[in-house]
Parts: sequence; C-alpha cells; structure tokens
Amino acid sequence: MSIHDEATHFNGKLQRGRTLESRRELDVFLASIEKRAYRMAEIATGNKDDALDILQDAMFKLAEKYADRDSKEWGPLFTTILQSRIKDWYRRNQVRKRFRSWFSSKDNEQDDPIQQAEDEKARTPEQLLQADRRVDKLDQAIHNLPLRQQQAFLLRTWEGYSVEETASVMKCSVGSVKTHYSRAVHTLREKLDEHW
Amino acid sequence: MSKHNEDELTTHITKTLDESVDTLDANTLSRIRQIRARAVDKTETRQVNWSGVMSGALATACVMYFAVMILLQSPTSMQTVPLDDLEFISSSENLELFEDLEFYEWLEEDVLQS
Repeated sequence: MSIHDEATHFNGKLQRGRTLESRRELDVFLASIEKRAYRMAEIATGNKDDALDILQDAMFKLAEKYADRDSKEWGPLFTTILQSRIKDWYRRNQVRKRFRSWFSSKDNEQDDPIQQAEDEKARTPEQLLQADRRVDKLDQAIHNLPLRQQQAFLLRTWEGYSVEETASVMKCSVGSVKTHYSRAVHTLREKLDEHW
Repeated sequence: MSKHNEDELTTHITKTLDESVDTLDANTLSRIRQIRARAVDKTETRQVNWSGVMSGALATACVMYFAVMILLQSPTSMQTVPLDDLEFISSSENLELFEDLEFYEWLEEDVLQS
C-alpha cells in the first residue's frame, strides 16, 4: 500500500471516528434536554401527541442544520427552534379554533361554542385519580397564560436563562421579556395561591 | 408582590416542574427516546444531495435557454409585420379609401381602357 493510500485510509478512519464522536455528543446533548423540552411543549399545547411532534421537529432540525456547529451553541439553538415550533403550533391552533367556533355557530346557533369546544386536557377518571393534582394545577395555570408570558416565565424560571438570553430566544426586546415575566408571575400567584 | 414571595413561588414551581419531568410515564419516555434516535440518525444523512442539485441546475439552465430564445426571437417577429399594413396604419388618409381600393383600381383600369 502506498503512502497516499495509507493516508487516505487513515483520513477515512479519522472522519468516521469524528462522525461517531459527533453522533455520540449529539445523542448525549439531546438526552439531557429531551424531557424538559417535551414538558415545555406539553404545557404549551396541552396535548401529548402535539408535544411529541414539536419535539421531533425541533430535534430533527437541530440534527439536520446545526449538528456541525460547536456543541456549546446547541442549547440556545435548540431552545430557539423549540420555542419557534411552539409559536407556529399556537398560531395554527388559533386559526383552527376560530374556524371551528365559526362553523359550529353557523351549524347551530343555540349551542354555546365554549361548551362545544374540545377539552384537550380531558382524561379518564382513572387517569385523573392517578395524576398528581399539584402538577396538573400548575400545568393548567401555565397553559392558560398567553403564549409570550408562558415562554418568558418558563425560560427565565425553569431554564434559568437571563433576561437577555430570553429576549434573544423569543426574538423580542429585554423590556418585553420583563413585562411578560412580571405579568406571568402575578397571574400564577393569583391562580395557584389557593392550592399551594 | 415582594421579592421574597416571588422567589418562593418560582422555587416551588421549578421544583414541581422538575418532579413532573422525573415522573413521565414509560410510554412517553419510550417515544421520546425513539425521536432522539431518529434525530441522531439524521446527522448521517446530512450529505449534499448531488442528484437534487444537478436536477435544479438543469431546470435553471432550461429556463434560461428558453428565456434567451424568446428574447432573441422577439425582434424578428416584430420585423415580420407586413410593411403594407404599417403603411395603412400610419397613413392619415381616410380608411374608406383603402377599403374600396379594389374598386378604385378597377375604375382606373376601366378609364385607361376607354
């Protein structure tokens, strides 16, 4: 085997080694954030399947577009993608709800659209018995916040992002983050006080 | 709300959220792991799709070719407009004269013959 062939062979092995290392590194990173990311999406959507879809979209995009970036950048990148996917879902859902309520009011104007709307948090009595009431109350309280307040609150409180980092992820000003966060805390205090 | 109350509330919420992550059901955890495995596999398929690039390049070349052909042909087709027609259009004479041109030609021949 010539020196050139050996060098090519060595470079190939090195490349494969780097790819494996990179895959392992990405796997470790995703494993470290997957549960929290899923819960964030679940709280925002109030639906397990939608949350898993959002998580999948965010993970796939990170792997496809940003896997070759420095692993230190993955955290903020993934959070930005995830929040963006949640926002997209929220917008689509708003439009769907508007159409649904419009059609249902056309079909039968006697019916109350609120009564007719699908309860995404509905569970069987068995599930309700098993569920942790405290977590459910918290989920419901955060879920009922406007999306921007949800994002500001969870990123600041749970993810431990600074105001600047949160503003960068949410693509808004620092002032907006402070306002959304403050309103979220105020509302949560009111809603949860009786239960906690 | 005092800073102390706010800190107490956020600490409590964070603790509850952490607990909720630790108590996810087995089915959800399994689905999350499957998603992660598929996402990691995506890094292997992150090669440039040369067939796609070539198809795109070919399509662009075809569009460019037809655009150039149309541009080159346009002046030629303009020149094929009959000059006689152009004369009629640009003429300030009464259009009725041109409409009865055959009659005037016959009249002229008739006069010459007589």
